[in-house]
Amino acid sequence: MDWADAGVVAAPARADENAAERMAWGVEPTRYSMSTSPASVVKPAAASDAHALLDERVEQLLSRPQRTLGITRFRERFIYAFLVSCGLLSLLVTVSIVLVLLGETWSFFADDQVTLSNFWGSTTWDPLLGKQKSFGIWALICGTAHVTVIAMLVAGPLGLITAIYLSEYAPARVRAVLKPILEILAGIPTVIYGFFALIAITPLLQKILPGVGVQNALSAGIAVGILCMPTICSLAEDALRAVPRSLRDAALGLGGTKFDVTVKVVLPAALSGIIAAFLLAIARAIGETMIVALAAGNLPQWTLDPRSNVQTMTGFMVQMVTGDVTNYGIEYRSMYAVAFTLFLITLLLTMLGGWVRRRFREVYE
Amino acid sequence: MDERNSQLQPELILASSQPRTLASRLRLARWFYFLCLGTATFAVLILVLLLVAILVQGLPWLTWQRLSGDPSPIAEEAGIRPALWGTVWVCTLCAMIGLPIGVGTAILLEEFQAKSRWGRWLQSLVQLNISNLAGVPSVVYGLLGLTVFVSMFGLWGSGANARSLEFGVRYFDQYRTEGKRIVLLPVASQDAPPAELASGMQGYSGDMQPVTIQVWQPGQARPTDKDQLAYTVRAGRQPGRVPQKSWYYFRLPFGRSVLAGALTLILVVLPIVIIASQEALRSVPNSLRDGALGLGATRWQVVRNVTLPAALPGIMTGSILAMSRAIGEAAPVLIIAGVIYISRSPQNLMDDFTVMPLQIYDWASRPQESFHHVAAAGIIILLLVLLIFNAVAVFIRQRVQKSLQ
Repeated sequence: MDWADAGVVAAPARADENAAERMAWGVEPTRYSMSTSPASVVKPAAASDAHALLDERVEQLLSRPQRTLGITRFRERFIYAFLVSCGLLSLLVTVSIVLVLLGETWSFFADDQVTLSNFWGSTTWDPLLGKQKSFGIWALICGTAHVTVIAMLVAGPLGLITAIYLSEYAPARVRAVLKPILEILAGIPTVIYGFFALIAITPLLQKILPGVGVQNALSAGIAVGILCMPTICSLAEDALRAVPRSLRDAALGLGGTKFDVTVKVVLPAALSGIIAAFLLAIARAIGETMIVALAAGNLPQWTLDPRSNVQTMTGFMVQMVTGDVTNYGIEYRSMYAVAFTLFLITLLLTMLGGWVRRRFREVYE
Repeated sequence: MDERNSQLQPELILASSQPRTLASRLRLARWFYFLCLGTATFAVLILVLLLVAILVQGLPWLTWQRLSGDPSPIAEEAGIRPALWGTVWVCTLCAMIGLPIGVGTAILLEEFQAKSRWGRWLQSLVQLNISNLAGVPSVVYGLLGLTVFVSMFGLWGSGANARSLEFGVRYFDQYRTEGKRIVLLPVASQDAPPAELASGMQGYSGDMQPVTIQVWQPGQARPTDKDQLAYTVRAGRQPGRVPQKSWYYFRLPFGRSVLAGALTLILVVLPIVIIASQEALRSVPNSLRDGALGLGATRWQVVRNVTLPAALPGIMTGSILAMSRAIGEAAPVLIIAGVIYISRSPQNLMDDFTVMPLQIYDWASRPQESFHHVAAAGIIILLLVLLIFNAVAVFIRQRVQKSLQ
């Protein structure tokens, strides 16, 4: 039985913001097709035709073979079971991530060459060296921190100010151009940003700064920053636009300039959403792989110089799978220990972001 | 009254703040506007700069060879064809398996609200879990896929003594004949010892025609007839074991195969599909559901005939985004497949593969300048593929939207 055929015509749902706006103003986005409009609306000349059409449809509907209630119930149960198993699958994914990473990390630490104090206490990461292997995670965390901090220094101001422009200043026509451009930036595969860092950003830096190598943390960080910019921008813009107009009107009415309204009223009101946006962007920067594999280098070291060749946690994993390391060796399993650290850090940031958004959200009537 | 409290008094704030003239405040506001405008323009400039840098590097090298060639070690001859087909295989599989699961989960969470307390708790757990999964780095999914799909926890052995359970494959011993041709002798399994050669055995020629094999003992008179020599094998010649895989070839564990790559990519895009589908379903007005329920429809009938058609454009938008992500995703595939030389497109689900972003990574990471040009040309092709995919998907979405109205 097809309800759509019977004239229950679905409303065209638009995922864009206009739909929400229209609904908020009480304008129904529903459009009705001919067959659902009452007969009295139809012009008298066409009335008999419309009636005939309607009668024909009702006739068709009634003449269909009826399904018994038992079959319908069985189908209902079957579909519900399928949907529940889909939902449980996503739980299974999380459980298996944790179990796989924990298991492999456990067998990594069970090895004689590895100690917890070395892993958390050393700044030398040297898993491939013959006898004196050293697994000091801080060397990799240092590389990740370099890239993440530089990325946030680029993406933070760029993304936030662009978001302010989009939500507070931009006329509708500029918005209609700028938003798709940011979406394009967000949709570009990350390997392209890595290539861009290698062929454009690094040569540029080499002209400005002395001592910049072919692969360096600065260039990779800037590229990751460009990658994170649309994330911050769109999330922060959502938060800014959620601030009700009445707040802006009140501040303007008290004699505030546009700057006062934006910086002293709207920005604090949207702060929870903006912080959540930053945390999500940081999580994204930490987990970014292809850019750092191409542009950051593969020398794990404890350094403060952003011009130097560094290796991030993700960069190490790429080196492991692209190099000819034997499977199931100790250095191969160290990859899982690094991945587990990475997973914990990003999970913490994501959960923190969600918590900040829920806990500190200003709710307006 | 301590200092902290005094700052909360509005009249004290007013008294202590610098009296600014209206002109200076307006000047500040104007400067801020220009800062915002400049920053937004800068964001656009970055995109322009990125595209220009890639076009300048890649356009002169964008020839038909780039699209149709194999990834040759010579830059001038290198092409992206096997990687392009790899992307098509992996992403098609990913969409076929991943989208129903993602949309199903969204329907469960939005339309089938659990009634029991336990069920509600489970649903909120799934919901929380999905938003956390969206933040997991894609390399971690790659490692998960490496353990679960590629080696299947090492259940079939690991390292040198790894074995696999295979379907749809026949193994042959391949002998070189005296007539400089090859003959194939069927064997029972991959590990079976080579059969004793004897004259009159039935085998196959290189193009799988049945032939009779002759054995020539060195020291005896060598046959001189050319047709006879073609299927004559010298006694004691060592065979090579070769597989003949059919299109439905399947094995456990999956190994570094197309299927393992697709399943891993599903894990990456699943949260995106679920969250987008949920939002689309949420935007369907409740009155439609109530109307259908009032007419006596069951919950699934409401979803199938009312909610899902109404939310379909939104779900498709989310799916397009997710599949674009899958096309461009390199990190998990890199963990699964590694960077290996692949010169032919995949023939079955278990074939080795590479995808376009991975091939581009391979070229970009080489030190030679010429390969950077090839990488740039590859990037242009990748962007074109993404553009075409998006255009086709948006076109389909619009058709669907129109037919629903």
